[in-house]
Amino acid sequence: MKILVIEDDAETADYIARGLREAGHNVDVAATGRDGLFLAADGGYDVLIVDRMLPGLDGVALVQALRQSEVKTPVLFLTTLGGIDDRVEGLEAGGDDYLVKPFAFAELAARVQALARRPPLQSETMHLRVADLHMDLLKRRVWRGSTPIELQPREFRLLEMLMRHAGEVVTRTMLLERVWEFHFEPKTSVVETHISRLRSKIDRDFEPALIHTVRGAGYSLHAPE
Amino acid sequence: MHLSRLARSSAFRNGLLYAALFGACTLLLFALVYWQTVGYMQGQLHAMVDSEVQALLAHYRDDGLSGLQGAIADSLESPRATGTHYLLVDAQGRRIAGDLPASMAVLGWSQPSVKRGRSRDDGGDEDAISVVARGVRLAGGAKLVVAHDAHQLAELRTRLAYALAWGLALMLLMGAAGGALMGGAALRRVESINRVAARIMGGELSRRIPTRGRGDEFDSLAAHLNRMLDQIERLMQGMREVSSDIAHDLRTPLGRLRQSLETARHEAASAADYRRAIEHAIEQTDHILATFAALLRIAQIESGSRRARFADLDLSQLAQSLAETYAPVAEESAHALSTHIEPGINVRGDRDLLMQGLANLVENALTHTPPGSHIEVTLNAAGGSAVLSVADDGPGIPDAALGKVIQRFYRLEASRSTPGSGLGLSLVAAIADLHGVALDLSDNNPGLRATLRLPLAVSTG
Repeated sequence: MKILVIEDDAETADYIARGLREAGHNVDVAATGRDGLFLAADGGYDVLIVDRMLPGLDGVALVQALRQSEVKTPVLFLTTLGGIDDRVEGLEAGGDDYLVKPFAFAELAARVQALARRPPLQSETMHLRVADLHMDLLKRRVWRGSTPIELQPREFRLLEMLMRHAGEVVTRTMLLERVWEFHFEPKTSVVETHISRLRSKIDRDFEPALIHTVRGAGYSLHAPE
Repeated sequence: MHLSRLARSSAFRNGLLYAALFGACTLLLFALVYWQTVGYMQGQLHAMVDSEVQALLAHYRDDGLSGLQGAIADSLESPRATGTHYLLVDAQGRRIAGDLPASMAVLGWSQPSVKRGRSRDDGGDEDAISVVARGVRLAGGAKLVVAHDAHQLAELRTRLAYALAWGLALMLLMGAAGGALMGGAALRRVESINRVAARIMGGELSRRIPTRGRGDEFDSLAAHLNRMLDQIERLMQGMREVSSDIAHDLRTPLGRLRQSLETARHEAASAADYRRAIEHAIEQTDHILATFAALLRIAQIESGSRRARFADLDLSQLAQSLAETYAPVAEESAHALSTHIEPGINVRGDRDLLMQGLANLVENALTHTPPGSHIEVTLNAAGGSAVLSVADDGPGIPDAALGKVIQRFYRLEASRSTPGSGLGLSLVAAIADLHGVALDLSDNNPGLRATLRLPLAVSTG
């Protein structure tokens, strides 16, 4: 995957670039908004990682400029700790996701993966299938093999999220944001509890188990290799 | 007060400007009075001279030049004609009657200054007097001149000019003095405000601008500034508290982090040991970062900038979905979570923050009550407010501490051992404050009841 990192802090940029290169990606780094815009304008990247605060041309202005010139490359914003307005501003400017610094690398990797593989909205399917797990999005029903499975609305959304990103890592934070719309860190184990409930419904009585815990990163739903 | 400062003060300059304006008006008025009065007097004089000329011409028509001579002589003798002077010259320019010198035989209107050649009173009077004269031509080249004393007109002119000059001078003087007086008063008030401001900037934060109790603009300015200063002082106080809180509460986990890293350096024998130590360190760092995030979030909420994003939202639905989220969590920790949520209650606010606030209250109840406790989330509309409360039947909070738990980092001794940053309730309080309401903590007999009374959105009210 070809990724452009637009980040003025050399240490952070290096940390991100090194991690992504180790994961086999092709990474370019721009230290200013102007350089970043110049590189990104070609549209040759799969994902842009843009720091919210940049010298010269600000991250939000950069993404606005890109979107205005019809560059639709997915953008992951990096924002500073505690900037609670940044998320909305970033998304309004045309960003696709945001991540608060400092972050665990696994979190960044998972989000980049999710952004790059995001299916276009037009080809929205009505059915999701992973191994013998089948979800009907229209009728809001789930089967494992031929056995229908009753899910609470929240569990349904959790499973949908995992199935849409089948084979990828979905982090706790991503689940909190997208399933519960929690933009904060809960003190109690909300995600773990719901995952464990979901497991008891779709995995406990069936073989093989589909929901896997990825240590230090999150969860992944996939059939055994 | 320094004179140059006074001259630069806006009130003084205003005073001068007014004085100049007033002076110009006065000048105009005086000019009008002057021209009117002088014009009227001149008209009167002309009329007098004219009627005398007409009378003499009548004599001339009846009795010829000799008749005219007699009439002039009569007039000069008559006491009624004081101030009127005559001249009759023949075709050769020789005076044949009258008391004016022959050189004054000028036709038409003129205002010459003359030395009287002949006085009716004492003869020797050589005073130059100003007169209004009219000369007419008679048949055969003779000329008749009638003049009237104009010294009253001249005097009037002089007096009016004097009055004008004095009035103008007085006006300017009073304007300047008034300006100085007013400017001085305003300048003194501003100076006193400036002095206080300088002292406050110098560090005397508790100083306030004195008011005079007159209720004038300066008093209201001082009152506003004082209120602003109160707020600044409160904010600075808050900031000092936060910094010392941070210093206090982050020193402990940072110290612990350092300690465990040092221990690892000394005692770790294998790669597995190092890995464990690093994981532990990352965990501790995350905890510190979470505390930082919470602090920054509270600070940002307190700044009020989020208010710009307020929108109407369905609080019933929000509370219901949160209860559904936490039901399994409660079950897991052997708590009973029940809800009494009235549907369709809308409020205006920040969805994300209200969700976080309610989540915090529920999590607070979950983590600070023993297993088996009952937690109840209720929402109903009462008296124009959406009353949202989270109540538990746990140990509760002693009355004396009820006010303190919403302070940053305040934690009851009993809860020191449970996880948490001690920021949960202060965050909820900040969120409540952002929505213009207070977080109400009360005794649930037993347990704690946390209540938020949010104003209903207009659409549902």
